[in-house]
Amino acid sequence: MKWIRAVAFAALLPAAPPVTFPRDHGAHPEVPVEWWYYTGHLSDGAGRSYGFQLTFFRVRDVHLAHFAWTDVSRRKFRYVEKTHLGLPGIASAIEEGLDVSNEDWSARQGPAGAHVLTASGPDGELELTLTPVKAPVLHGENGLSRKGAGPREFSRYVSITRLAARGSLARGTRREPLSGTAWFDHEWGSGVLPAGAVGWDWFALQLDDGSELMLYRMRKPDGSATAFSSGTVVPPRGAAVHVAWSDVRLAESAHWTSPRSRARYPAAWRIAVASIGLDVEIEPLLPDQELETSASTGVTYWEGACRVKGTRSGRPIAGRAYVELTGYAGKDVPGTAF
Amino acid sequence: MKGFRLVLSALVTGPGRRRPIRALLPVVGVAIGVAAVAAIHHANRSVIESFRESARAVAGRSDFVVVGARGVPLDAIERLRFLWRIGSFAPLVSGSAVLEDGTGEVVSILGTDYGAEGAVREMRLVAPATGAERARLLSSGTVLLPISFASRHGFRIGSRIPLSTGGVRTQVTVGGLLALSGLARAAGGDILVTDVFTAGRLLGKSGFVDRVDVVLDPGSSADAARREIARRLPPGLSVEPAGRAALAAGRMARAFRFNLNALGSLTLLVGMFLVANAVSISVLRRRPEIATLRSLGASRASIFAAFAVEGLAVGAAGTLFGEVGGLVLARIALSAVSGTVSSVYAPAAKISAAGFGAPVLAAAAAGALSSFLAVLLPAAEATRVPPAPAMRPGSTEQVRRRRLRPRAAAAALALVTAAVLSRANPVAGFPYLGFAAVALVVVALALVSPIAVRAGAASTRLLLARLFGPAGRLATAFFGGSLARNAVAVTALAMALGMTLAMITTVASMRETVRAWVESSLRADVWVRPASGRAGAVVGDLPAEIVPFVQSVAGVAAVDPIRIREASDASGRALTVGASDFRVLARAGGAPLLDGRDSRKTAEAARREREVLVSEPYARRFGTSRGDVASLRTPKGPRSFRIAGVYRDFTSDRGTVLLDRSLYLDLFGDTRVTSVGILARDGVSADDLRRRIRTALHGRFAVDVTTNRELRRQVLRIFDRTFAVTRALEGIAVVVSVLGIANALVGSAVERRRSFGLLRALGASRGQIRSAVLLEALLAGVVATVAAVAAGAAFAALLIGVINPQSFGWSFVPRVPIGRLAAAVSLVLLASLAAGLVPGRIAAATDPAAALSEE
Repeated sequence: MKWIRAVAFAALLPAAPPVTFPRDHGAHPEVPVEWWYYTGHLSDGAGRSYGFQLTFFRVRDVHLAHFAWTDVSRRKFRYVEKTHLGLPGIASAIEEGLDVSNEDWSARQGPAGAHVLTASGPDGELELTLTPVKAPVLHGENGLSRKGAGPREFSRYVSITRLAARGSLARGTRREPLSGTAWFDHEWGSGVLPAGAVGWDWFALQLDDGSELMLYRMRKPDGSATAFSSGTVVPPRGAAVHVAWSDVRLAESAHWTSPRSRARYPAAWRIAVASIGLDVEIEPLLPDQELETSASTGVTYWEGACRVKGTRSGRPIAGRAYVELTGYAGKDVPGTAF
Repeated sequence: MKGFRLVLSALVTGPGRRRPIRALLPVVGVAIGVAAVAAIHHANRSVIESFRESARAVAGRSDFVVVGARGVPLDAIERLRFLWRIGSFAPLVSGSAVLEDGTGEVVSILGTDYGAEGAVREMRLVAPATGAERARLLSSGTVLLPISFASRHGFRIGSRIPLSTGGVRTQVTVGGLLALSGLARAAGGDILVTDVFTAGRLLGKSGFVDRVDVVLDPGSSADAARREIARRLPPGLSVEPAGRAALAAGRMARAFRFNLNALGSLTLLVGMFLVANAVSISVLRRRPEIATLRSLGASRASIFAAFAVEGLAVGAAGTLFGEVGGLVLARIALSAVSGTVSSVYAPAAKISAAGFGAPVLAAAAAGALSSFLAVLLPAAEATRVPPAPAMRPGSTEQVRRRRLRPRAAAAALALVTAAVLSRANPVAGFPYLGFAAVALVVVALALVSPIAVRAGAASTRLLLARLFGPAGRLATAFFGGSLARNAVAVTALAMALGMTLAMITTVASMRETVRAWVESSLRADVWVRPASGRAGAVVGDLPAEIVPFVQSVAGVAAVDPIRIREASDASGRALTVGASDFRVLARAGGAPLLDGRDSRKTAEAARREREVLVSEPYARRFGTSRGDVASLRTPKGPRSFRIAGVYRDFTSDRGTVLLDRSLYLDLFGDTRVTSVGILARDGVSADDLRRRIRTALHGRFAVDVTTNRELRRQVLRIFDRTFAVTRALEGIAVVVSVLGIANALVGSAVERRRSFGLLRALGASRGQIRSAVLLEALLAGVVATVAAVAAGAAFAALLIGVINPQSFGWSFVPRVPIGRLAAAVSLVLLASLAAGLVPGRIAAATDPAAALSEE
């Protein structure tokens, strides 16, 4: 009967409900897996630069959160994780709009569509107000981000690819003012890692010309991309454009082995997207930005701030990126867990 | 120093080497006493320790705990959000279930917020090891269990565990194994840890948790935090110090502890008398040697020291053996005890073997102290032996005889004081003065027993002489002649037997009262309760939906959904709240009221006026009676009710406030049911109705359906199991004291070798001498029995009339179980006759020529 489901599903595909905001920044408890992902590059008044990642996961009733802080100037990377049941006052996400929290970390709707983030870790208490520079983008074709051929192997995936960040990091009585650029991803779906895939590489590039590129490579055991890898280009102005994987060339040019998990991660890439004339090299700002989240998702992954350098249509271009690498540390693959 | 060594060798070590068996006897006596004390303390401590440990495991590191009259609603947790800035907090749902894997064991279920646990409670996952597998633990319906528990039941990761809980049969999946530390130590490790939602679903507690534990970061102000929590909490919720639960847990085992302590001190007293007995016998026996030593220049002090050393050595050796025996006994007692405690106090509680050090010390101290005290008098007696004239026994007996009058006066004074103390109120909720009265009765008994021995000898002289001729005459002469020695043995036996008789009477009175109470208060024809497995006690509760199911069964006349739960009064003192449909009570009647009024009419009036009934323990504990006010913390805040009546109850020694179900639902909003009482229509038999109800509920609910008769039997069975230990210890006390008699008689037989020799030389037959010694033993038994009956009556009166009501608030209708008492008495008389066998043989075997040549 599998084919009937497949046909029925295919018939349902175009009927995916439209995404509306601010409602769809809120939670979608009808699907099992959902996450709100903030990454960004910040600098303080003294010219020091930082990277941050603040993620709220929801897996059915369980709410997890990761906060990673990359102190580029001092070459330090530290992270904190939290796991709770979805209980009021402990960890929750409302459906009406953006209001997701885990203990005293939160992402909430601020005035004029801003996202207000709070999180704390060993480096201090972070408070950021993120003002969207661009409208939300819905990735994938027909508003569905396909992950595999199966009927449940898709998600709804929304990004705000550029937000202006302003805030502070407070440590004791000291308060470091911060400003920079952030990226927001919100994805919800079945959370199933498609059959035949072992992990994924995710790239979020913010280029100096005001455009952004998201690339998503679903990896087969041999390291090659599955048919469901794809991307999105967001031009400085105007509508986002879907990028087919056939349009992308991705090569790894260096590797780094984690002394803790023994996982061997790619540590430099060359990415070329012919349709937009982009050819860039991506390098981590720090080699070690690995998270071993045994206390929450149980997944070991690498997620870090990177620099981008290359050319676009022959002219030099630079930028910043966040890269996420999963499925390199043995069996600890996200998705299989749930 | 050299002189003392000589004295010691002449009086103690020399005789000890020559007669090792006789030296060993008092050691055995002390050993038995110490073993009993050690065993009781081991058992006692293990029980309390297991309760405490369980409470500690659950409380973890928490500084405060937020609790509510009906748990803590989930939306109230929201108000604690501010705490994340200064600490963390973790909700907990707890309950129990029955394992349906064929063992029928009761297992605790704890629902936690896994992620919050690290801060509040320790939980160490042993397996699985990989992150991804661990993440799977988070899926619903998955449980973690201690590795020891899993291996005992053959569960491994992925196993499905069948449970019945909350009146429903269900399954959970093993997701991981825990090291036996931290939270996993709760309930002795018989525990399933899961998430709050799964536990709530299993236990029928969705929408609220039982408690929220709060841990503050170091450096934050506990007082400020507590005030702030209290300020934010809605009515019906309160914040309390985390230690309180552990205290309450300790209190739970109080009834049980009382039982053991009373018997423990008794055995100790008997042990003391045995040591005193042994030493005084050796003093009496060695009077000639003492006299010789004194005339050779030994000082009084060295004589005293020699006997003190002997007593202490006996005590030390006995203590050593006793400690070993105590450990063995404790193991036996623990398995017996675990049945009683588990079934009565906490279905899933288990005995832990923790903390063996303190009981060992306690028993050692008891052994050493009691043998020291026991030695004082006889050793002092020894110093009074004058150098020359004491070459013959008998002179001390005259001294003692002169002292009988002041003894009688002192005994009378002790009894009068005991009577006065028995009227006093409890001190700090505990009947210390009642126990003091018991001690005074013991003192009176000890004072009066030489008189009793003499009276016994005097009053039976003619009778025995007529019945047994010369042997009878000899027996009374022997018995009355060795007054001091026999008095001590008789005291020990009278004390043990008296306590035993009192215990038999008390337990029988309790049982009879409970039986009568069960009959009058369990009026329903059929009962439906959650499936309880092996424990036999109530495990968990039932969903409200069961009530209409039961109502719809043909032949059902009325249904009373009964709810029993933990609650507290307005000032936070823990008690039990019960809810019952007063309309059914008004129709069928309920537990009898103390003032004898009709329980039907009272229930009807209470329902109309929204008043409550309270149990007798409640009335005693809070000093209230009909017309007074009872207060309760409810989810709607504190409420007060007028008390419409006080009923007899044995279910809770904390006291129960009984509400009409509609009033309870209104205040507590808790529709769950602890058990359902069902009245049959006229002409429908209970067995018939039970069959119909079983059929109607089958497959829908996991319940036990019992008829009234079965339930009554179950209640009495639990009662008997609770007192099984008591019975075992009664036996020990009697064995110990009969051994004392044997000891005393062997001693005197050996000592009287010369008399026996003389008697034989004068023509007494072996048979006559043997009969005389046997009769002497029997006489000791009879005198001890007479004293024991008198003392036992006093003990029983104190236990039933003072100690029990003051300890638990339970009053009993006294009942004298003649048959069992008579059986105990005849057993003791037979045993004392048997105790005369060995000394009888020794006496009869005396060679007249040899004995006389010693002269």
